[in-house]
This record gives sequence, structure tokens and C-alpha cells, in this order.
Amino acid sequence: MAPILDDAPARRGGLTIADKVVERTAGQVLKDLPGVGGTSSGLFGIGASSSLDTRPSVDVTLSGRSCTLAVQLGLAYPTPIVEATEHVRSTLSHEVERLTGVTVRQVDISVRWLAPESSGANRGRNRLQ
Amino acid sequence: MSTRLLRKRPSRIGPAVVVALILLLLAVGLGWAGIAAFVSFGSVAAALIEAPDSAIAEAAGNLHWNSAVVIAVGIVLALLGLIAFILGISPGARRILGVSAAGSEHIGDFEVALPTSALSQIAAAAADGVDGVSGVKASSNARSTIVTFSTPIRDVEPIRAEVEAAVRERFASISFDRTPTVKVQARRSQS
Amino acid sequence: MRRTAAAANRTGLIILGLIALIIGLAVLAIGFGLTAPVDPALEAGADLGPVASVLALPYSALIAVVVALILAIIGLRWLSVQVPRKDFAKPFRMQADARTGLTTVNAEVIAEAVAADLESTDGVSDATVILRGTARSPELLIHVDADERADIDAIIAEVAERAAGNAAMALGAPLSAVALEIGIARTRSRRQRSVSVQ
Repeated sequence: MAPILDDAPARRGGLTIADKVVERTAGQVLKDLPGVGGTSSGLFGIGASSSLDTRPSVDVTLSGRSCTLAVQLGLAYPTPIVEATEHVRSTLSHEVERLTGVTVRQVDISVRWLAPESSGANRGRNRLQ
Repeated sequence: MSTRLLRKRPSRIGPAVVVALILLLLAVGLGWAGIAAFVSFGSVAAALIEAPDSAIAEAAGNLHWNSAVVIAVGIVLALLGLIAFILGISPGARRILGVSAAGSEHIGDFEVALPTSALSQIAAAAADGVDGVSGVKASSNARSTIVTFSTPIRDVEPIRAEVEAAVRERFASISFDRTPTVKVQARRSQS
Repeated sequence: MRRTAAAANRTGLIILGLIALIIGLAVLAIGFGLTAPVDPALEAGADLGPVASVLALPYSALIAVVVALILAIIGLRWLSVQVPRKDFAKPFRMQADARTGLTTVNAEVIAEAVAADLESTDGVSDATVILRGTARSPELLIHVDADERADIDAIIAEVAERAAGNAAMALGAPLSAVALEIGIARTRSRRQRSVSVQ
């Protein structure tokens, strides 16, 4: 007997989405955004480096079927900070909701550094020393 | 905005630190004497000194107001007080020169200044560019710069004129609110 | 550029200077016999015994300790405000709508970016930037070290146009005030220039 596909979540059984999943998804979404970067941790903070090629870090707080995200990122300078972060916020909440089904209530963004676009390894021109 | 962001006059940090340290020394001395009196008397009702048998009471009894020591202490106190008072009241030498700047549409209030030390360095660099100059010293206040250069050449006057022209020209290239005056002195160096 | 306790220093110096001046002048006045007509006890030839007898009063040690404490507090507080402060602005809140989340940017982060931007200017070897005010009306304090032969007016124009423009664009608001202090970078060796011909 062919299984009958039933879309109603209540009858499908429980589905638990771990914080990690939302975190990974959000990180992936952020990685694809241009002009946004993060800080690689390095060993005990030694050798930590910031670049537009590094993935921003995300902390997720899940409560039921909704979550809040806390993002630490870096931006290219000069970019209008408000516009850039609003873009990150709306993209992030839409994409995370679309990919995981978890409602994103709030995205807190902390801008950790601003760097000229050329400091990213593959982006922009190489800086002449 | 009416308050200026750049500090024009000295803030008297040095004198303030000295006076604060004197206050601390006084505090330590007084506190020490007070606590020593507590300990020897055995009660908080203690007097600072035991008259008339303490050394201080005896010394005070032997000192007269018109003795040289007392007059000297009075003069020193009055002088130090006067110096501190003048340091507090007088604005002190201006440490920066205003430079006029057009600003731009991104800036509400634009304020540009050059410290007098930078002025000296600019003047020295300009003077150093003149041939025949072997060493330069420059000192500036907010209104003028004195450049002293040394040269091995016997006839210093042409070089002096050249140095003066170089420094003036350099200053003219900067839009000072008030271009500082230039005075050039020559010193013959042995070589 | 940094804030100092200039007003406190001057007030303190004036007050303590006046106190020392008055005590000193009073001692001199008694010593030269100027006070004898007012009070015969304050005659030039009198001894300092009465002054010492004040110290011999009961509880004078307690008063001395209290005075010492007050002096110590004033002295320590005064010393502690002498370190010049940068006084950066509080972290800027730059979100469009707080309900969807906050955007926080430390003033130091923006200041660092402006400094890096300035250091790419021709003739500028070093830059320090302090950001004060709020995100809506930011104030920039800039110190640049220029090369000794750099075109100063060009540097000023570059700061006003490009660096300030970039900062205003990033912040999304014009800078309400900019203060620029231009120092001169120490060059390696001025002697390098000199030539000697035998």
C-alpha cells in the first residue's frame, strides 16, 4: 500500500530543529551575502583575522517555533551601515524562515569591524603597498 | 556648536599633579601624627601634641614671628601661592594655530589646527631643503617661528635670505588664519 | 584632542594658590609687625606658642586625622582625573526598527575605519580618530601625522571631502562637527640629505 502523503505537521510526527541547524543555515545565508564578513577565531584568539571572506558568527536562541538571532559581522567601508544591516536582517529572517520553517522574531546585529573592500583576499583590487 | 573641540591652551596638568602630590604628603603627615597621638594617648580625645613638654611646643615657644625662619616660610608660602594662582588664572601660551578650511557638505562645523610643534617641524624641513644648510633648529609660538640654521659657508647672508624665502613660501602654501612671521638666524658651523 | 581636566586644574590651582598666598602674607604681616596695632598679641616679637597650643587642645588629633582624610581624598581624586580621556561615544544604535532587532556599532569600530581610510591619503603617515556624539549628529576628532613636506591644504581638502564623505555615508548622517589636528611625522633621518664633496 502506497503511503499517503499527509502535509499536516500535527499528524506527521514531531520534528525537532536543533539550534545548530538554524545556526548553520543562518551562517550559510550570511556567507552568500556580498559585502558582509566575519572574524575567524584563530587559536585562543591569537591569529584571529577579520575579512569579508570569513563567515559572520551567529548565535541562535530558540523558543518553541520561533527564534532570535544575534549576529556579529563586519562590513565593507564605506557602506551605509543602516541600509547594509537592514538588508542582512531582512534577508536572514526570510531565508531562515524559508529553509527551516522557524519564525525569526528578531535579528540583533553587532557590527564588529568596518574595513575597506580591498582587504578581502579575492574581492576588489589588490592594494599596492 | 559653540564649544571648540581642540584645546587651545595648556590644561596645567603638571602643576595640578605637583599640588595634588603636596596635598597627599600633607595628608600622610597629618594622618600619621594624628594616629601616633591616638596610640600614645590611648583615646580619640588625644591632643596632637602634649603641651608644654613636646618638642614642637617647645620649638614654637622659642620661635618668634620676626625670626628669619618664620619670615622665610611666609615668603615661600606666599610665592608658591602666587605662582599657583597665576598658573590658574593666566590662559597660557596658545599651543595651536588655526588653519582656515572650506569644509564640505558632509561637515557641519569644521575646525582645523596645527600645533606649534608641527609648525617648527615644517619650517625646519623647508629650511633643510636649502643647499648649504647643514643643520636646522626651529622654535615656534602661535604667532612666529624662529629658524636657526648652521652652515659651513663663510658668507651666510645669501643663504639666510634663501632659507627665509623657503620657509615663507612653505608657510604661504598653508592657509593659516594668520600666517606666522618668520625670523631666520644663521650660525657658522666649523667644518 | 583628548579631554583633560583643564577647568578643574585651574580652579584648584586658583583656590589653593589663594589659600597659600593668604597664609604666607599673614605670616609676613605678623613678622613685620603690621598686625600689632590691631591686636597686641600679634606683635612681631611674640613667640609661636599660642599656635602650638591649638595643637595641644583635646580632640585635635582626631581633627587632624579627619582633615588628613579629606586632603587625601581631594589629592587622589585630583590626581585620578589627570589622565587625558578619549571619551568615545556610547555604542551607536543604528536599526531602522527596534522591533525586528537592534543594530549596534561601537564608536571605536567606526573611528578605526575612518583612521584606516585617512592613512590611505597621500602625505598622511598616521591617523588617530575619536568619535563622539550620536549616530544622528556624530562628531569626529582627527589627528593626522603628515609628512614634513606634504601639501597641508591638500590633506585638509582630502579629509573634508573624501574621509568625511565616507564617514557620513557609512553613518547615514552628515558629521555635525569635525576637528582636525595636523602633526608632522618624524622622518627617519634628516642627515640622509646631506652630501659631502671633497
